Amino acid sequence: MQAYVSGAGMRRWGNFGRALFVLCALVLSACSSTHVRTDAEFDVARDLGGKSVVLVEPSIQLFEMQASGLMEPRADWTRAARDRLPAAINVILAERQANLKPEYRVPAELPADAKPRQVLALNEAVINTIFTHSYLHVPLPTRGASRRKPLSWTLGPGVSTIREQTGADYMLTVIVRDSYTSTGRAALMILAAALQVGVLQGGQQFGVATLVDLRTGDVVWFNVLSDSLGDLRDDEGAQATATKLLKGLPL
Amino acid sequence: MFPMLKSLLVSLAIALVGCSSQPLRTMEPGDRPAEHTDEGGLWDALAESERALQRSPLLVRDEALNRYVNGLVCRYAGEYCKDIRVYIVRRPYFNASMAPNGVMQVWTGALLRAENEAQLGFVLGHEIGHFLGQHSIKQWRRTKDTANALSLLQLIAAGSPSANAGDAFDVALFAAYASLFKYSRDHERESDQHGFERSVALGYDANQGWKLWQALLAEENARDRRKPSSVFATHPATEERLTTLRREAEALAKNGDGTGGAEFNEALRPFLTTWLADEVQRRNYPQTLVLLDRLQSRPDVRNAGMLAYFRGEVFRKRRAPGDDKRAIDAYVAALDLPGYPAETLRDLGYAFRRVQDTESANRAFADYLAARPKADDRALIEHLMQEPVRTHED
Repeated sequence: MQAYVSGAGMRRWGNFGRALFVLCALVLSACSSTHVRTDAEFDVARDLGGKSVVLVEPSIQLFEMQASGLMEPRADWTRAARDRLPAAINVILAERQANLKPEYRVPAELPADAKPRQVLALNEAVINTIFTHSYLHVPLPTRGASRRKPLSWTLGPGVSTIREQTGADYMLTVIVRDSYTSTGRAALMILAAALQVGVLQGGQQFGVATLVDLRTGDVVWFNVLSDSLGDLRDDEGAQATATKLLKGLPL
Repeated sequence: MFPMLKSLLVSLAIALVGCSSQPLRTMEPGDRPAEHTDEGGLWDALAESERALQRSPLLVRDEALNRYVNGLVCRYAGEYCKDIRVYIVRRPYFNASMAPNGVMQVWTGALLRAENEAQLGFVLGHEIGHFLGQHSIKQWRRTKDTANALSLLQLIAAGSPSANAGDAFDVALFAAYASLFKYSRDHERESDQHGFERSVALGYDANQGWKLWQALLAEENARDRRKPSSVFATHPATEERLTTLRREAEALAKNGDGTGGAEFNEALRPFLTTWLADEVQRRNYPQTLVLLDRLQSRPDVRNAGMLAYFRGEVFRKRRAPGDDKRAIDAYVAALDLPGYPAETLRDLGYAFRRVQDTESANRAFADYLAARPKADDRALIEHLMQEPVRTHED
């Protein structure tokens, strides 16, 4: 609820201005983008013919954006999306002739310090680091200021434990946080536009997908998706989201 | 404003406030909220963070300690025992928390500060009170409604041509925040009451609850104002809660005198050195000194040497004027008491070097190496013993 555009100048534009403003408000809040980075060597080789991929512990959560902007988690939507999105990803990977392994979850009975659990925790930490230093404006002194540099991150050879568990050559990680505009929020958005006090943000889809080489531990491909139109609540939307999420995946 | 817009605003306001009247669950033991509800959503999101908590390096996994704390939780929770999962988290602050899905966190700073089983039980009972009172979901709904109403107000204020509309909005905002905090205080009071009643029912001394709050208040009042505060930052009005609990305890016709058995000390003793070291690391030294005084004055204190050692550590690390001397006195006092760690000798050596007393330092170092022939830092200490003291020792 911050960052109001001042409405004072708009008033003298009359009805045309008002209509234009409402239109802009609605258009501005609807955009979609993906940003792919790849490992330099991998970018050159890109030969994954006949290699196998495993999707590990996809983390998916759906929220309903309240009128105030507060996010309320929705378990029913989330459960459906946890089936839908991996299924849609599988369809795409199968189309590209990738050898798919069944989705992997660390068995619940393994202790906290079990190797697979620790590798996935490290993976999460590395994803956060890559996102912070390659996507947000937080350059690392050792990597220089350029955010467009190729990836040069690795989890190390310890990842072989996941290969032993799954028999896959590559591990695909997917994290999605998706929010949807509630009726109250929609009313407030229209009202804000009508009163010409500013543009209120509606629901947003945010996702990260990465591919890790399970022999070297290198993070070879990384994609960040930001989308205000994506919808994981039906099969068609899930397919569209999966396509954007896997954009540039070298398979 | 257009009349149409006005009526739109009014109906919107009604729609926003309308959602506040959702009923609470009946909460039978073993109950779960329905998936499509707001509470079902919170549970699902919390399940994800519980998995993160389970692999946290801060989790204390010692079996005996967990068994003991779990047992006490079960005694307080009764038939709801199976609905609550306890996680002991290594953080040196006094805190315990309760999530609506049954995840209870108990921080080691709370374990360190409870003097006996009755005090720890009161804290656990307080948290169970939050759980049974469904305070999280109440607070969530309240926050949601307040935020929604405020958003609408903010829009009206921003859209209004009146110059004062913004000020009016600020006033509404403060009133709304104040009412949220008030709401939370009522929950604290209610949970205190639950902890108190369960303690009485289980035959514990009903005075232990307010005694613990009193001790924490003393710590809080000694706080170094530049350092982050403890639990009281979010739990104000402690004195009032203390007085209420005390009055109720004194009004009891029959009060149990139990403070719990030896199991409490047996379960916690193996960790005291680690937790006290963590406590000193907070670098809120005035509070740590108050805590050490209190632990030392316990009737059954068996580790006076260790407490004296950590008093020395506070002074050695704080280095206010006169602290070098105070550190030496504390370490020397520790050496005459039971339970001092071997590090006392080593750190006494460091303290002597700070006051340029090489001879005493080397004697303490030699005693340390004799007590710990396989010390990790043997080479470092042997090197120091050859090294002349500098004017400003670290």
